[in-house]
Amino acid sequence: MDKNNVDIRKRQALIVASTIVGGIGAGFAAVPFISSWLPSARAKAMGSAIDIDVSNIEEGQRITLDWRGKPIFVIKRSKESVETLSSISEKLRDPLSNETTQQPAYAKNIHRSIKEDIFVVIGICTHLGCVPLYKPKKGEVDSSWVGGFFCPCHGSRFDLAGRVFKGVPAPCNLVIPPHKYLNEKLLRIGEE
Amino acid sequence: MYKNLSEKLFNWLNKRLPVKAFYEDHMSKYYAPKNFNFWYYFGSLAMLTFGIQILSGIWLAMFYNPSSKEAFDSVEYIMRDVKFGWLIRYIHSTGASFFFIVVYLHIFRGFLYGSYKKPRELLWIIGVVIYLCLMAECFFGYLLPWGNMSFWGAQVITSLFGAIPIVGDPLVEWIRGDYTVSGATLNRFFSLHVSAMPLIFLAVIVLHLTALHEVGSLNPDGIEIKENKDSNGIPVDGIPFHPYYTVKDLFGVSVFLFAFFSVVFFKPDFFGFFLEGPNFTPADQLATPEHIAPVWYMTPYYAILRAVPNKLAGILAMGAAIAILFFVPWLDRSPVKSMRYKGILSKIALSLFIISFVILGYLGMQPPSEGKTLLAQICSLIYFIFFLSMPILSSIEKCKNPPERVK
Amino acid sequence: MNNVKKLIIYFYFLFFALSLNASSNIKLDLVEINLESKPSLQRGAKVFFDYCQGCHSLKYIRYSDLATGIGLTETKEKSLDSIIKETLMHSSNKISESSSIFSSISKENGVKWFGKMPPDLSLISRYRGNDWLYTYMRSFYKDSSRPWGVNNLIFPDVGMPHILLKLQGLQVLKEGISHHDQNIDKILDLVENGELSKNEYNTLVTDLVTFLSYVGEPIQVERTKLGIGVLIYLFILIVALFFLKREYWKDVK
Repeated sequence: MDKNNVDIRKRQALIVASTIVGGIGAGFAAVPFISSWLPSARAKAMGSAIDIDVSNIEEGQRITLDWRGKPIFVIKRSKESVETLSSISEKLRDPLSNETTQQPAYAKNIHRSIKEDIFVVIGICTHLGCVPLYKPKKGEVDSSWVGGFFCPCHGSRFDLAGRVFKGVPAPCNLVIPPHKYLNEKLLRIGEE
Repeated sequence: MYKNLSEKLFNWLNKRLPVKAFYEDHMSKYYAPKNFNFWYYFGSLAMLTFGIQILSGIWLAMFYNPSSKEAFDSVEYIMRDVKFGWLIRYIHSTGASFFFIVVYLHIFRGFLYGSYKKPRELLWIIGVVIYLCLMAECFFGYLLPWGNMSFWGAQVITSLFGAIPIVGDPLVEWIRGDYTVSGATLNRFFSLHVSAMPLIFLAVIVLHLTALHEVGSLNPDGIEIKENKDSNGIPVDGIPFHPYYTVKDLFGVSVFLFAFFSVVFFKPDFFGFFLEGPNFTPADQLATPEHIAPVWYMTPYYAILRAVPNKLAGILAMGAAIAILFFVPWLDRSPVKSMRYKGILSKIALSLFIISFVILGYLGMQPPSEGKTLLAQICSLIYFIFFLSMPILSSIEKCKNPPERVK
Repeated sequence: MNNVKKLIIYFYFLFFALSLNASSNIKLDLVEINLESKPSLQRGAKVFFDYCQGCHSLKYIRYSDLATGIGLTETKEKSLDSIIKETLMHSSNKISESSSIFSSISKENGVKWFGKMPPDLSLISRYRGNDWLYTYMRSFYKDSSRPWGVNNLIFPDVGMPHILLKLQGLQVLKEGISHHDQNIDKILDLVENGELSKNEYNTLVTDLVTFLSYVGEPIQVERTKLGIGVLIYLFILIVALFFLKREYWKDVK
C-alpha cells in the first residue's frame, strides 16, 4: 500500500460532498415513510362532510350524527330557550365565547350558531371527553336548571348554546364544528 | 473543547461496551484481500436488500390486514389510499426478487472461487441455511396478498407434503390449519413472515458474518492472504476493510439502488415476473389460474419436481437438489480453490450447470408438455451430475499453479 | 470465451422463446394509450358508466377520486359535486361522491343471467394487460350456440354479451382460417355495420382501455415522473461515490 502523497484535503472534501449528497437522499427517502402515517385517502373520505335535512326537526328534538368519530348534536331550540341565553351570563365562564379555539368565527355570538334555532355542537365534554346528557327542560337537573347539557362523569354543566358554567370541572365551552347551510333545508357538517 | 467532550463521551462508552475493539477487529484493522472484483459486491448488497425488506416490511405491516376477508382489499388500500403506500409496496415486491438475484450471484461467486473450501465449510453451510430461510420467507410472504396465484401456489406447495407416507395427509392439515388453504393458513404465515423468520434471519446473518470474520475472506485467486504476513503480522495482500471496502461497497450500493429504483418506478411488474397478473384477482377456491407456477426464483426447483413422474420421488429429487448444496465443500477435491487455476473440466461443468439451472428456471414457468418434460429431465440430470461428478473431475483434471501473491 | 459465447447464444434463444404468447393462439393487437390525456380518460369513463357499470363495479376507487383523476373540474355554472353526479353517477341519488363505485346488479341476478357474477373491473388491466383488453372488446363474433348469441376469440365461451354490439356491428368467423398465431382482423369479418366506423370503434375501445388502465393503477403517471427525479439524484450519488472510492483506492497498488 502506498500511503505517501495522500491528499488529505481532497479526501475531506470528497467525504463532505458525498455526505451531503447522501444526506439529501436519506432526507427524501424518509418522506414516503413519514407521510404514510398521515390520514389516508380512505380516512379523509370517511371523515368528509355529512349533510342533514333540518326542515323537519321538531322543537326540542336532538339528532345525533357521527362525524370523524365524534358525536354531533343537531338541536332545534325553542324561541324561549334562545331568549334565556342572554339572561345567565354571570353564571358562565366564557359567556361571549372569547376562547377562539372553541368555535368558528361565524358562531361567535350569543346562540353560538348560524341560525338562532338550529344548534350544531360536538357532544364531547371539554373536561375529560365524556358525552354529556341533553337536558333541555327547566328543572330537569336541579331547581335552577334552565336547560342545557349535563355531563354525568364529573358533573360539568353547559347551557343550550354549549357554554360552560362557572364552578364545574370543564374549562371551556363545547366545541362548535365547522358547518354551513347549503340551502334553507340542508345543513352540511364538516365544511365551512 | 468540542473535541475534548466527544473524546470524553467516547471513553465513557468504551469502558462499558467494546466499541473500540469491535471497530478495530471488524473494520479498521480487519484485513480483506485487495483484489476483490465485481463478484464481491453481492454480500454487502444482500445485507442492504435485507435491510430494505425489513424497513418496507415493517411499514407495510402497519396497513396490511391479515384476515382472509380483508387481506386483498388492504393491499389495494395501501396502493391507493395510504400516502406513498404504492411506493412502499413496490419497494417490498421488487426487493424480494432483487434479494434472490443478489443471492444467486453471491452463490455463483462461491462456485467461481471455491469460497466453500477449508476453512470456510461452515461459512458456506450457514449460507445455504440463509438461502433456505430466504425461500421459506418468500413462500410465506407470497400468500399474504391473498391473490389467486398466492392461494393456489400455497395450495400446491402445501399439498406436496401429502406425498410423505403415513404422516402426509395429517401433516398437510396441520400445516394449513384447515382442510384447505384458508384464513387460518394466512394468519399463521403472516406471523411467521413478519416475526419468526426475520428473527431467524438476523441470527443466521450474524453467524454468517462471524464465521466469515473468523477465517477472513477468500479472493479471486483462491490463495490465503493470511499465509503471507509482514513483520507487523498484517497480510501483505490485505487492506483494512475501512476505509477501502466501506467506500467501495458504498459505491456498489449506489449502482444497485439505481437498478433497483429503475424497476420500482418504471417497471414494478417487471413483465409479469415480479408481480404476476393473476395475482391481481382475489383468491378464489373455485377458479384455478390457467398456469400455476411459483415465482421465478423458485421455478428451477419446481421444474425438477415436475420432471420426475412420481409425486414422492419428485419431492425427494427437489429436496435433494437443495440438500446437495450442503455437501459441496467435500465434493470439490481440487488442489486449487479458484476457477482461474482449475482445469477445463471444472470450467465446462460449471458452465453447463448454470445453463441447465437457467433452463430449468424457464421450464418451471411453463405449462408442461412432453418435449418440455424431457428437456427438464435432461437438465435435472446435468444439475445432479454437476455435483456428483465434482469429486472425480476435480481430482483428475490438470490445474495451473496459483500465484504466491494476488494478481 | 467459448463458454461465454454459448451463454449469449443461449440467452437469445431464451428471450425469443419467452416472447411467445404461451396461453392463447391468437396474437394480441397492441394498443397505445395516453394516460396524460384527460379527454381520452373522460371519454373512456363515459363509455364505462354508460355501458359497463350496470353489471361491473369498480370497488377500489371512489367517485370523487375518479373525478379528480380524470380531470373533471368545476365550472362557473356547476359545482364539482353536481358534475360528478351528472356525468358519473347514473344510478342513485342516495350515495355520496366519497363512496366506492358499485354496480346495481345483485349477485343473484348476476349468476342467473350470466352464469357467474360479472367481476369487479378495478384491477382488470393489471390482471389481463392493456393489449388483451383492447383485443377482447373487438373479438366478439356471432355464435348462435351461446346464450347471448356471441362468443369471443380470446376468451372462449365467455359469459358476457357483446354490450357494444350496436356500436361495433356484428362480426363472424371467416371460413377455414387457422387461429394459430393470427391477428383477429385476419379471422373475423364485419357482416353488419354498427353505428361507428372501424376506426371510431377502435378509438372508443382505446379510450375505454385508457380509463381501465387508470383505474387499475391511478398513480402510474406520477410514479414515472417521480422516478425520473429519483434516478437523476442516484446518478449524482453514483458520481460522488465513484470519485470518493477512486481517491482512496489510489493507496492500493
